Amino acid sequence: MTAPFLEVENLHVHFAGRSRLFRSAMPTVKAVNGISFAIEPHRTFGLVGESGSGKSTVARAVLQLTDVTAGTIRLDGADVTRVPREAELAFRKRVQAVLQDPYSSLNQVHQVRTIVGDGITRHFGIKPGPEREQRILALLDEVGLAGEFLDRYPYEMSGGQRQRVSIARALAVEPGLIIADEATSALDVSIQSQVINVLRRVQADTGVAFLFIGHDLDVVRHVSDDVGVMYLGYLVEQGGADGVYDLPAHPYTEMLIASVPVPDPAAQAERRALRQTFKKDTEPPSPSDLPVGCPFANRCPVAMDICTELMPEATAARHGGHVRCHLHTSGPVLAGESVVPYIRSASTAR
Amino acid sequence: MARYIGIRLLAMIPLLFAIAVISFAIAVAMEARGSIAGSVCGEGATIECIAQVERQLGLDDPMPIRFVRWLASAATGDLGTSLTNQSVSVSSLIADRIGATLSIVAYSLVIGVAVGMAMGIVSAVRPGGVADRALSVASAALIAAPGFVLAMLLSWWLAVEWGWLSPAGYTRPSESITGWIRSITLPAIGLALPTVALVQRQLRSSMTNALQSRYVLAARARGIRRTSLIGEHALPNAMIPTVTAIGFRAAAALGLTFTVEVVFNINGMGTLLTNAIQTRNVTVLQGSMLVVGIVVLVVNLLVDISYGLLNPKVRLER
Repeated sequence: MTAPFLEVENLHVHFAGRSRLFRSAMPTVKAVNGISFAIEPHRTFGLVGESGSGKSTVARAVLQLTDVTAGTIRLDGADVTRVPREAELAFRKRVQAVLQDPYSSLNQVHQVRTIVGDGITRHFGIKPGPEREQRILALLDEVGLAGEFLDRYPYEMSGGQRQRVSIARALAVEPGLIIADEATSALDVSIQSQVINVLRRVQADTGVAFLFIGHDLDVVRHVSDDVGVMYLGYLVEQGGADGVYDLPAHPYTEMLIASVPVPDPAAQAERRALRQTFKKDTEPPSPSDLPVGCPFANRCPVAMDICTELMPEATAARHGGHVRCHLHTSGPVLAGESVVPYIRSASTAR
Repeated sequence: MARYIGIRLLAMIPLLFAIAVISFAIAVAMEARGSIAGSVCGEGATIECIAQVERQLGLDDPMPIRFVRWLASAATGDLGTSLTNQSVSVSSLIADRIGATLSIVAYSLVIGVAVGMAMGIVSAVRPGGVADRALSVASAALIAAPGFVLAMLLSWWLAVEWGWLSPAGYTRPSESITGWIRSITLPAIGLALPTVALVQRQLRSSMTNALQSRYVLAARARGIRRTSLIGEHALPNAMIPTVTAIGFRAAAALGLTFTVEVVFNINGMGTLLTNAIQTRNVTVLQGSMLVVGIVVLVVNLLVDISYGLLNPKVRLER
């Protein structure tokens, strides 16, 4: 196995709340609470979870756009948790982002030429001119856009085309890692798969590592080699993409899988029945007031007493990854097996 | 862009016509109360004199004919002669006065936009910071206090105590360039202060939004320089609503020169218009209103053009 390009170790990101008006201390928002993962070149790590689970905060922390409270981020073995100012430009060249909303992430007053080209000028010192033009054209070609797009403004393009421009913009600085934060979430399903294919081709051509963040487990599984499931700042389950999907060991992962509709009526009916067992209307706890025990306990259909008292530690799962759930060590002691048969039997018994 | 400007120019034609109709109609409405001929003949006017003057000036013709005649000669630059002094043409009166007004308004816009933009950008870079709070309080104060009052206070030091600027009166640039600048600086500052506040507030809010946008976030992640993030990425977007506000302010500033001209004893369009109203000098009134209206139209055209330069969507769609 090749050495990982990105290593995140025990990452914590907390935001100190402070009221400007009354100068009183507000509760600290604990957005990310000790997550660890690694991505090798040519590989994609998918981070999945509901909105508010801290996925985007992980992205911002890795991008050095927000301060890390604790933990370590390493790039190619070198510590980049807190990049000093003089090293920032070199760091920016290695990690790039494709952001969620294709409408607001492109500057409406700039042409594609400027959007894709300013990174080239900044990082390679190539001033606007024929050489830069050639590079931009090659990048547009890589993401499947014709040369005529050079003069286009964002509002003259469709969502899919804009997202391709976003990808070309990220590729322009030749990074080792691209963070795609909900990069396909705002697109139609058919356009989504086109953009995903572009990402795949780019990875095959350049060997770039991807951190792919999404809320749709189906899409994330489709593009990722490994996935991590986030809930309220915790990585509750992680492992190989197919393993986690086929043998989910955490009730929350199972809930995410059950929430995706499937085209088979029988399977869909089964998923619907399964969905009923989750306390869907229960709000997740606030990240500024996390419970002592497992954060999922109040929505979990199979929660036990211990779940409200103690945060479970990571244990090995059958699919080769880890899971943080008491079911595997206490109560039924699933010991890493899939949680699906247990939830089904528990729900039919009721 | 040429097409966009062309369309803007065409759109001015009906507006020009409307301004002409309104200028003419207001003057005619004043005429109905006091007779023009009466004011020409002076006190103790005889019926013969009035009848003669009315015939001479064509006042006994039907209204539409008078309007067309007035408009046709206005198109050639002839706005008639002043009623109080038949030897002076209205156009020469306006030509004599408009320089002072236009230079004060333009100068005030340059000061107001430059200072306001600088303040707005500083505020937006760190909203809620010390600089932002100080500047926002200053803006609020500028909005609350009439600009010409503050300018009068300033004139105490700048003009009376230190003698850098002239406290009153207007010097033509043809007489002395430095004298001209010294004479219009204080009135321009007086007129600029509310503009400063307006631009600071508008730019602060739109710039804060722009700096928090995803495209600026993406540019930060690309390692784009901070100065370029502010100047090339956020500012052009933030200027779009600001230019609209500046356009409104430019038209309002033209109206406000009237007070400033009185305070600083400057013979500009403002004093010309108020005198024309007081003496029921209908031809001067018509002509001045027409010219001021045209100036406002030109200002609007300039605003539209800079709007198009800033916003590619506006430029290409229409």
